[in-house]
Amino acid sequence: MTAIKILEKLGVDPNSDLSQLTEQDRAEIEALMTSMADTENQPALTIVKPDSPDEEEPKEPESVSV
Amino acid sequence: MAVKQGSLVCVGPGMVLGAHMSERCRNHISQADVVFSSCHPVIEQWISTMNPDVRSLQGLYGKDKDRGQTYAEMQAALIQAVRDGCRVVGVFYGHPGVFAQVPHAAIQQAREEGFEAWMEPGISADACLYADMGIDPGAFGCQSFETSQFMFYKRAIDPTAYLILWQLGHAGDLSMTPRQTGPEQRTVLMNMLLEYYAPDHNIAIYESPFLPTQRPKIDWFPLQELPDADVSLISTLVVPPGKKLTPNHAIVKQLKSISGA
Ligand SMILES: C[S@@+](CC[C@H](N)C(=O)[O-])C[C@H]1O[C@@H](n2cnc3c(N)ncnc32)[C@H](O)[C@@H]1O
Repeated sequence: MTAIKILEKLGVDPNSDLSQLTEQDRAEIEALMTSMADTENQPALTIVKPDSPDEEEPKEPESVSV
Repeated sequence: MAVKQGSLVCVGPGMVLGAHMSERCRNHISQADVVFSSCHPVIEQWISTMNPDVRSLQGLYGKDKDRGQTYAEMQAALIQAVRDGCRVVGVFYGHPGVFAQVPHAAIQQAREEGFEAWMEPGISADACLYADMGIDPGAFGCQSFETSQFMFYKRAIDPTAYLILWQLGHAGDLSMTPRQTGPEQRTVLMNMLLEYYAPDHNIAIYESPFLPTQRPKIDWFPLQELPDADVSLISTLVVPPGKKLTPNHAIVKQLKSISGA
């Protein structure tokens, strides 16, 4: 199984945990994490400027009827 | 306006790989013509197992590039694919509409151009925070601010409620780049919070894991140590209430007179 599939199984199945992994599975995960060590994560998805006119006038939320 | 071919749905895979994605979100991803994503690189690898055309938006960030420009380019990429007639899915980690400008703006633009566009909710960082830290936002109320917005604008906070400050790693950022700010900016933030809380008031930095093999990070420390705290770009600051709720006797009296109690 690939590392991603192993991680997916751990995430989806509440009865599975690290202790059940084989040596090989652990090595797969380790190798994935090592290969990604230099890959940067950019989590910011919002920006606020100190004088942004957008922020001054709150928008009315759209009314939606279902 | 007649609805045109091409559509956009923004979805969130939640925070933890495997654990949080709804079946509906997975189906959107697997049925899309093209998937754009802005998530942790490991999560993006996982998403790539669900659709052959997954394009990461993370490469649009640049060390000294204005994030506003990055977000405009993300939006443009989504919209161009919609105009090309594709069923486009935008995957933004956590909940796609929580402290995330691009999904909201892209959906609005797509609709204005006559395309079908909508959002599906996901499990956000604060949803994990409530679970991992045992906080019920209804217990005392809970205020959420983007940290820099809290600093740049005159905001009133209610110290009897929880306060959650997002994007702590960019606190007071005037560079607009993806770079992290430091102790000087956090000293300014600390001084703002000292107007409401005692220096020894305990606050916490929370970081949810993104892999099921990891544990959440919850670091408690007194407010006066905020400048030197161990902060990353995924840190969220949690400030518990610092004052007791004050009963509103006048309103309770008024209500009693209505109910005749
Ligand atoms: C642009 S917002 C995106 C939030 C995301 N859409 C969500 O649903 O949670 C980025 C901020 O979310 C918070 N955040 C992101 N990842 C986190 C994590 N793993 N643990 C705790 N907070 C996180 C931090 O405050 C970070 O600065």
